[in-house]
Amino acid sequence: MVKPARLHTRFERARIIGARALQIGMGAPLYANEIELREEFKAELISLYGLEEASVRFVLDPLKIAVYEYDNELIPIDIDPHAD
Amino acid sequence: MVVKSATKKKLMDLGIAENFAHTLANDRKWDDVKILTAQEIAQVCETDSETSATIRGTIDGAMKKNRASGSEATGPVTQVRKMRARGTRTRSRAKTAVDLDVYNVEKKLRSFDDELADDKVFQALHAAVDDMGTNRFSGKIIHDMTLAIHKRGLKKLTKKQAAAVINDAFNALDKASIDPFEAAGIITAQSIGEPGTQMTMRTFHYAGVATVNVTQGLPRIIEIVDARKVPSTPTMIIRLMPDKNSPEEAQKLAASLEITTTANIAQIETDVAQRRLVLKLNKGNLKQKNMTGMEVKDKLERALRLYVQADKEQNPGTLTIIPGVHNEEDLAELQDNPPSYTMLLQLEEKIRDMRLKGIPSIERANVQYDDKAGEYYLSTIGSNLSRVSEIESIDRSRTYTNNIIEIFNYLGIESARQAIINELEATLLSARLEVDVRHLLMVADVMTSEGEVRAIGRHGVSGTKHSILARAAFEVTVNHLLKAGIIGETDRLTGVAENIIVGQPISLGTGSVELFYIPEE
Repeated sequence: MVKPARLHTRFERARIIGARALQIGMGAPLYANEIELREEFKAELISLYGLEEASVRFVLDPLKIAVYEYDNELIPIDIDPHAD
Repeated sequence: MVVKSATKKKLMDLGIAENFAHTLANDRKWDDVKILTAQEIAQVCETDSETSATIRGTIDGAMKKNRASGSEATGPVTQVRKMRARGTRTRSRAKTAVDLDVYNVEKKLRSFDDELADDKVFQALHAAVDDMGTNRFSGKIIHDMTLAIHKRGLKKLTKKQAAAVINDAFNALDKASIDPFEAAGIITAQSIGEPGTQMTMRTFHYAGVATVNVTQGLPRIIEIVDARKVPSTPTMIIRLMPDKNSPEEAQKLAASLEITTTANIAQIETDVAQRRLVLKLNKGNLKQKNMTGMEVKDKLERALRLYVQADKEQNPGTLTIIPGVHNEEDLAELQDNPPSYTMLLQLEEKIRDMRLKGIPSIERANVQYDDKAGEYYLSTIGSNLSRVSEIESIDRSRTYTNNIIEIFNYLGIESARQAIINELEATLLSARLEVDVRHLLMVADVMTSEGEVRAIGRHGVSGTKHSILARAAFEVTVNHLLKAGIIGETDRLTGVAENIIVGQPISLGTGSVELFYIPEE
């Protein structure tokens, strides 16, 4: 969805993920869709809720979702696009 | 009236009235006086033309007489004076080397390209860089890579090889560079500070040549970082020109560099009964210092403006000096007006530490042999870069001092920067500590970036920060705040300390990133 203006430094990456994780943690709608997320974090959901409830319940660490979104270039946040 | 100047004395000896002699000698040397016309003399002395003409005549007469006696070269005094005049002139011409060249950066950079323009490896690498379309390789880097490849015995590179080299170099550069807004200074401080804690414990004893004992370890690091004017053990390494590289030449140069005081070459005896000083010259020491008795006599006479009696014309063994006796004629008046005891003691004090030979502040110079390079060099205690550099028989480009401020004064700020790096690195390596040179570059850059060598601390870098809050956070908080308040300074809150004080994110790391919402297209 959003191609970064250039390769981010680790500080920029951390700042973007941090900002997005805060939004998610406060209940913002996700850019990643549920099916994809369930697939990505399958093992974790099972370990959290057990086999039966893993396909129904869906509460994850917001930071992990933010990292997933970042890695898939889904977050519409970037560093100053007008710089350099 | 006390006779102060030699010129006045001379005029009075010629039979010119004291008041005229005084006015004429006022601010004038003998050379200035003897070219005055009768008219000028009349003006200066405020007298009639007849008197001034007489004075002029007297001076003319004296000059003729002087010239005559000079050509005859009879008296020992005249002879010495002639020798001295010739000596100084030739020495100053022989020893003063050419001026330093101005360093032209652009010319230097272009010279890297020109030097290897026909080189196959250089061309191949250049082509590979152009193919890659990167601007991270300067001419200097490609130049260095070319030389490295030559050292490994390759005369040319295929296109593929060149590309591989450039690719590897690119990755190495990438790996070596840090992200923007990294707190590099903190990392430097930690990287030097941690090994520094191991230093103090290790560097108490230093086994080595007894003559060289240079400050090492933590004390030396502190010295460098404090930008001291003079280090506690200034030393120089003086390399000789290849054609002058023999133990004899080196020893000769060492003798001419080393400070020789009167006490070094003579035993000074105070003859209280006769109110005079007797110097018993030590022949062995004189020879070692490459001096003669007449030279000592000559030097003392010139420096003290006193008459020095030698026991014989050639190779005198003892010299006698009487306070207040300026020339041979004064000896006659000695009976009526003997010098006081205090004058005698003062004179002795003065003579004892008088520099007869050598360069100021170079206390000792030792000839040493470098096994590796197979050449003789001098290592000194004490340093004086500007004076040593003027000597022609030394290799200026390889001569070194550990006095950074001296390097700054003589060669400029870039050299001082390099000197800081070299000194820090040498000190750390001697303690077997491996600190990456880039940390030292950082320290050197911070110290020299303002065009002069600044200490790290209150009087230097920390004390001259632009931000008031940053300065107040460091030391003497109230003074800084009060002064800033009185003159109404502003703080732009650009640094780290200021932002922490006001409770904002700092402009480093994540704090440096500004986020923008990029709407979906």
